[in-house]
Amino acid sequence: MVIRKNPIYTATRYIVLMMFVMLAFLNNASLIAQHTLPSGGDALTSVINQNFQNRSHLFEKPLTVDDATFARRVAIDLTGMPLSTDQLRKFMADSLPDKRTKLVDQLLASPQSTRHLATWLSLTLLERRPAKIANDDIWMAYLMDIIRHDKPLTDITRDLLTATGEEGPKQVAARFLMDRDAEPNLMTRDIGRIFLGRDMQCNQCHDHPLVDGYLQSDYQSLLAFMQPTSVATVKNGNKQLTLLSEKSGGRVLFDSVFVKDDSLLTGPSLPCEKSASVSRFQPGDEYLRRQSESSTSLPRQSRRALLAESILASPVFAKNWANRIWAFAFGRGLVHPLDFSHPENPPVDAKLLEDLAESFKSNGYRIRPVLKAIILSNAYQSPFDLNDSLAPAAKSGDIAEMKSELDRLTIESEKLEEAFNKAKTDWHKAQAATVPVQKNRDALQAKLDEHGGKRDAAILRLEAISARLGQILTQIPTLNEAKIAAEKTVATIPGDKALEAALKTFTDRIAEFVAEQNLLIEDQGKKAVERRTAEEQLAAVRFQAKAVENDLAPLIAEVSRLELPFLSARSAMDSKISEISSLKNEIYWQETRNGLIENRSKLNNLNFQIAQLEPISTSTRSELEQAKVSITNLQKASDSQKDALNVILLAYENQVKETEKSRLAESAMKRSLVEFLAAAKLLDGSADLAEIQVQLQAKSDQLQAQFNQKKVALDELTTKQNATKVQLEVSLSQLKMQTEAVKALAEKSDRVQAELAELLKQEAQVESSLNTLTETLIRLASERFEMATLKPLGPESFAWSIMKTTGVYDNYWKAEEAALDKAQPTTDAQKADQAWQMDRSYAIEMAVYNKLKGYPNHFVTLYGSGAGQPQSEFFATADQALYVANGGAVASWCMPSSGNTADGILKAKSQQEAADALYMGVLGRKPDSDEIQTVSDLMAKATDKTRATMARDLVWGLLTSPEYRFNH
Amino acid sequence: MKRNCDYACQSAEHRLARRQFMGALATGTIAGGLGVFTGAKAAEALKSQQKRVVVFNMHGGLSQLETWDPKPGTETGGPFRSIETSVPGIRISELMPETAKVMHHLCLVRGVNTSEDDHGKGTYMMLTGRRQTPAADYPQIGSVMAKALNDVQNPLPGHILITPGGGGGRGNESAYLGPKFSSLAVGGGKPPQNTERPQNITESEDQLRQDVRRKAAEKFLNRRRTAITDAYTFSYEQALRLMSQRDSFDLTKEPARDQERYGNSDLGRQCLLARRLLEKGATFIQVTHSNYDTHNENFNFHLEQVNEFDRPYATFINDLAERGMLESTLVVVLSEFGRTPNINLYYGRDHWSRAWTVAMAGCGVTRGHAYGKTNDKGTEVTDGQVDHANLFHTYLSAVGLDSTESFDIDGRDMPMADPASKPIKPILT
Repeated sequence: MVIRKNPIYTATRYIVLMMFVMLAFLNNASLIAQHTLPSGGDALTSVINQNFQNRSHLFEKPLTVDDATFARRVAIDLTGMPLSTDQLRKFMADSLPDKRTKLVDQLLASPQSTRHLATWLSLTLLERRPAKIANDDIWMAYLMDIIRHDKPLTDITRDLLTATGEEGPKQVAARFLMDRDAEPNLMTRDIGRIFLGRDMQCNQCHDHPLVDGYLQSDYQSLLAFMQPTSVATVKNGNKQLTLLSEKSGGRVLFDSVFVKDDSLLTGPSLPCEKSASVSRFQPGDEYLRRQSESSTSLPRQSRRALLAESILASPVFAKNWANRIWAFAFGRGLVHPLDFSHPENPPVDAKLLEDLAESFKSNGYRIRPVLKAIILSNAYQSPFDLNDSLAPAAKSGDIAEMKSELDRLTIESEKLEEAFNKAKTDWHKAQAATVPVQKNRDALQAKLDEHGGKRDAAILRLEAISARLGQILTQIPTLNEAKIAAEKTVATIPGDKALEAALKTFTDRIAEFVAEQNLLIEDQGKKAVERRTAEEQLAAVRFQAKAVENDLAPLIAEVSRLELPFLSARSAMDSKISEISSLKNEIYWQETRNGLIENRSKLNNLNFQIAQLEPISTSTRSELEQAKVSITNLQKASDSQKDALNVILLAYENQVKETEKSRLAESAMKRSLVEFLAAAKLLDGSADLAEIQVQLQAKSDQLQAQFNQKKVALDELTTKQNATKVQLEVSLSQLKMQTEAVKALAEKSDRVQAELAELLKQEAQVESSLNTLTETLIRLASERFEMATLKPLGPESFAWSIMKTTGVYDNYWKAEEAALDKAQPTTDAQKADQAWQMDRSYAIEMAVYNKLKGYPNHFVTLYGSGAGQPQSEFFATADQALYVANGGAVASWCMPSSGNTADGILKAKSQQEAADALYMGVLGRKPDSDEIQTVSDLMAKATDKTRATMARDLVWGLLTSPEYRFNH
Repeated sequence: MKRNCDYACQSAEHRLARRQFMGALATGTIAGGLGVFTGAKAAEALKSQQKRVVVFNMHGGLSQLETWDPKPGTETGGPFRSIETSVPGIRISELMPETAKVMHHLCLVRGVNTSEDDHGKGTYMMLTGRRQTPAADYPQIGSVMAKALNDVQNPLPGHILITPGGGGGRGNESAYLGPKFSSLAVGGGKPPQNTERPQNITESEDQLRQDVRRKAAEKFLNRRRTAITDAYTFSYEQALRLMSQRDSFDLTKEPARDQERYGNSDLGRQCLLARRLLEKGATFIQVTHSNYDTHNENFNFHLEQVNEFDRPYATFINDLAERGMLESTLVVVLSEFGRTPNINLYYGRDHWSRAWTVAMAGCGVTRGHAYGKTNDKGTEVTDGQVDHANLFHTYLSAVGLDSTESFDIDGRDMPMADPASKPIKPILT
C-alpha cells in the first residue's frame, strides 16, 4: 500500500511530501522513458496495446516494469522457474533495444517452457485426476510432443473428444474421458468447463438459480452428445481391453426439479447455438458395428465426433482457449473464473478477447504466437506497485451519464427478457409436444436394438458356423484318404497294434467331425431361423418406427422452427445484459478511481493545512509557556514584595511603639527634670543636687537623643513602607495584565489545538478510506490488467523455482549434460546444427525432469488441490510451511554449494556484494540500502563456523517470503 | 435478470475472512509471531463461544438392534436384553451398560431411513448430507465444520481424523472447499509430520531465518496485501505454533489415571486423544471405529466391538460434561447404515438403511431424549422419520450455523447443506 500512516507531524511535513511527489514524478518520468515498449512490432501485441489504449486508465501513461522484474516475471511464467543469477545479470547488462523480445523467444523455444506448458495443459485437462489409462509419464510425453511442435489445439481437441482407447496414435488422448470413467454427466460438466468455459453443474437439474445465462436445456443438450458413450470391456485374444464404446442416438428427456410435469426433450447442441445436424438413418440401420464380446459398438454417426466438430466450429472454441492462454500468462482470464462465462460476468474487454481469438485462429490455433504477443504487451509488463501518476479523475457528469445510460439499458433489457421468456415458452411447448411421440420412438428403438442385436449375433454365429463347416469339409476327405490307406495297411499287416490304433483314431476323428458337422448344420438351421425371425421382427418394428418417425418429423420441424427465434431472443437479451454488466463494472471502477483521487487530494489538502497550522500551534504553545513562566516570576516578585511590606509594616508598628515608649520616657524625664529643677531651686546649692541634676540632665539628653533616633528610624520606615507599597502596586497590576494575556493565549492555543485535532481526525478518516480504496483499486486494476496480478507460484512452479534458486536444477543439468557428452560425444557438425542442439537440450531436460520430478510431485501433494477440483484456488496450510521448514530437502538445498546463491554470498568480497548475491539470487532484484544494512549486520556477526549456515538461513528466509511466492 | 449478484471478492464471506486476518494482524498476533493474545479477555470470549464437533464413525454398519434401539424378545431381537438407562423410559442394549449411565446427556434419533445399502454410497451420504450424484462432489462434515467454525488463528488443523495408527497425510474430503479443510490424520501417539526442527538447524538459526522471512514479508505486505498473501505469511507462523504445541498429540502427557479410565484399547486412546485435542482447541474431530460389517456372527462381533466402544465413549461424554465442554461440543455417533432386523443363516445381520439410529449429544440438541420410533420388529420407521440430509442440517444448526446458508466459492454459491432438506427441529434446543 502506498498510502500508509505517516508518523511525521512536523512543519517539515509538507516539504517532505512535496519532495516525495516530485521524486516520484521524476522516477516515473525516467521509467516511462526507459521502459515504454516501442509499439508496432508484433501485430497482435499492438492490437492488445491498442485495446488497452481505448479504455479508461489507471495511470497517466502506460507503465512497464524494469528489466529485472520483467526477466523474473517472464521466466517464471514461461518456464515455471526464474533465471539463474548469471542469466539475469547478463540480461540486465545487455543494452540491445529488443532484448526483451529476444529473451521471450529464447524462453519460448526452451524445453523448460515446453515442460511448463505441458504441465499447464495437463492441469487444464485432467485437474490431477489419477490415471485410469496411460500413466503420467506417457501422458506427459504426449503433451510435451504437442507443445514442443506447437500442434494446433483443434487437432488435440478432436483427439481428446473422439479417442476410443484403441491402439493408435491417439490412444493416449482417451485418458481425457477414461479418467472420468466416461460418466456422461461428469464428461458433460467438464467439457462444458474446459472447452466452453461454462460450469453448468447446477443446470443438471434446473435452470441456474443465480446465473440467468445458464439453462437446464444447455446442460441437457450438451449431455445429449455424451450420453451414448460408456466404458466397455472387450476381449482381444487373451487380453481384456477397456475402451470407449458408443451407442447410437442421443436425445435427452429431462424434467426440472423446480417445475412439475414439464418434461422436455433435447437433441445435441452447444449452449446458445443451433442444434447440431443429426443424420437420420433407416430405423435399425444406425450402427456400423454393434457391441459384441470382442468389439465395442460404433454408430454410423458418432455423437462424440459430432460434438468435436460442433465445438471446433463454434466461436466459443477460440475465445475459450484465447482466454485460457491469457490466463496462463496473467494468472487470471479476461473472463474470470475461466469456466464461468455468462452475460453477467462479461470479459474485462470483449473486443480484446475477440481479437485474441481471431489471432489464435489465424495462427492455426497454435499457442506460442498468441502467447508471445501477450507477453510482449504493455499489459503483461504492467507495474506491481500503485504510484502517484494517476490519470485525471473522470468528470462527475460523465459518471452521471453512464448511470442514466445504465437505467436506459436496464429498461431495454427488461423488454428483451420478456421477449426471451415468450420465445422460450413457445420453444419448450413445441419440445414438450414431441415428448410422448419420442418416448414411443425410444421404446421402438429399444426393440430395434434388441432384434438388431439378435440378428447380428445370429449372423456372427452363422459366419462362424460356415467357417467351421468349411474347415471340416476340407479336413474330412483328407482324413478319409488316410483312413482308407490305414485300412489297406491293416489288411496287409493284420494284428499290428500301432496301425490298428492309428486306424481307430482316424475313424473316431471322422465320426467326431461328422457329428460336429451335423450339429453345426442343425445350429445353422436354427440360427437361420433366428436370423429370419429377427429380420422379420426388425422389419415389423422398423415399419412401426418409420410411421412414428413420420409423426415425429413435423413436430421436430416445429421445434427447429421455433429454435431460431428463441436463440435470437436469447442472444439479444444476453448481449444487453453483458453490456449492462460491463457498464456497471466500469462505473464501479471509475467511482473507485475517482474516490481514490479525491481522497488523495483531500489528504494532501489536510496535510497542507496541518503543516501550516502545526508551527502556529507550536509557537502559540511556546508563547503560552513563556507567558506562564513570566506570570510565575511576577507572582513570585509580588509575593516577596508583599512579604517585605509585611516585614516593614511589622517593624514600623514596633518602631511606632518604641518611639512612643521613648517619647513617653523622654517627656517623663523632662518633666522630672523640670520638677527637679524647680525643687532644686528650692533647695539651691546642694552639691548633691547639682550632681543629680547633671545626671538627670544627661539622662534626659540621652532619652532625647534616643527619641530623636527613633523618630528618624520611624521616618525611614515610613519612607520604605511607602516605596514598597508603590512597588507592590506596580507588580500587582503587572500580574493582572499578564494573567489576562495568558488567558488570551491559552484560549488561542486551545483553539489551535482543537483545530489541529480536528484536522488530524479528518486525516485519519481520509487515510482509512484511502486505504480501503487503494486496496479495492489495486484489485480492480489488476483485474483489468493495468497492474500486475498477484499470482502465486503453483505447486510445480514452486518446486522447480526453489530448485533453480538453490542451484539444484542447474547442477543436475550440468551432470546430465556431461553424462550425455560422454555417452554420445558431439561432432563439430552437430554443434553447428541448431535442430540437433535443440534435440539434445530436450534430451537433457527430460533426463533432469525424470531425476527430479519426485520433488514437484511431493509439492503437489502439499500445495495442490484435490483430484478433479479446480486447481487455481490458493490455499496455505501449516503442513506446507512445516515441510519447507523442517522437511529436510528445502533447508539443505539452501546450504552453500558450488555456484548457488548461498555460495555467492560466501564468496562475496564485500557485505554489499553479499547482499547483492542474496537478493539477485533469490528475488531477482537489487537490494535496497535497508536490506544491504540488514545483511551486512548479520554477516558481520557470523563466525567462520557459522557463515555457511548464516548464508543458508538468509536464502531460506527470502525463499519463504511472500515476495518469492507472489511477485513475478 | 438477477441484479446485485456479488462476485468473489466482494462477497460477505470473503470480507469476513479478510477482516479476521486483518484484525489478527492489527493486534500483532500474526505478523510479529509473538504468539500471544494481546486481548486475553477477547480470546477467552472467543473460546467460550467456539463450537466444536466430534463424530464417531462406526465403519461397516453398526447394528441399531445391539445398541440404541434393541427389540428383545422378538424374532428379530437377537440374544441380548435391553437395560434401563439414566433416563426412565429409554432402554438400550445391555451391551452398553456405561453408556446407559450417561443417557441423560444423549439424544437418540431412532427414525433414520437413508434407503442406501451400499457401504461407499452410504458413507458418502452420511458424511456429506447428500446423495452422490455424477459430476458433483460435496465436502464432508469435517471440512464444512472446519470452514465454518474454525478460527483462522487456531494453530491446530481445523479437521482432524483420529485413527488407531495415525500419521497419515492430508485427506481428500473437502471437495470444492479446498485442501485447507481436508483432514489431517493423527493417532498412535505420533505428532503431525515435520513438527520437529531438524538437528542441523539450531534454535537460534531457526529464529534468525524466521526473522529474515518476517522482515521480508513485512516489506512486501506494505506493497501489496490481500487475503492470500496474509494466509501464506500466516501459515509459517501457524507452523511454528503447531511445533510448540506438539505435545497436544502426546497422550503420555495425560494423567495415568485417565489413561486407565479410558482403557487400554485403540478406541480408548483415540477417545482420550480426542478429549486432549478438544481441550487444546481443536474444532472438528472424527474418530473411526472398525469394523461392524457383521454378515457372519453378528452377535459375537457386536459383543466384542460394542463392549470396546461403551466405556471410552461414556467416559468421554462424562468428561466433557464435567468439564463444561459438552455445552459447546456436539458429539455424533453415526455409521453408513444399520443392520437387518432379519438374522441370516450365519447368525449375521446384513445391510439395513430403512430403520436405524444415530446418536447425538451436547451442543444444541435436546438431552435425555429419544426422537422417532421403529415398529416392534424394527423393520420400519413408524414415527419421526429422517434421512442423511435432515441429520446434516441438524448438525449444522446444533452448532449455531444457519444450514440454509451458502459458501461463496470463487463467486459461486455452494449451499452448506442440501437446499431441498431441513433440520430436525424437535431435537434442537
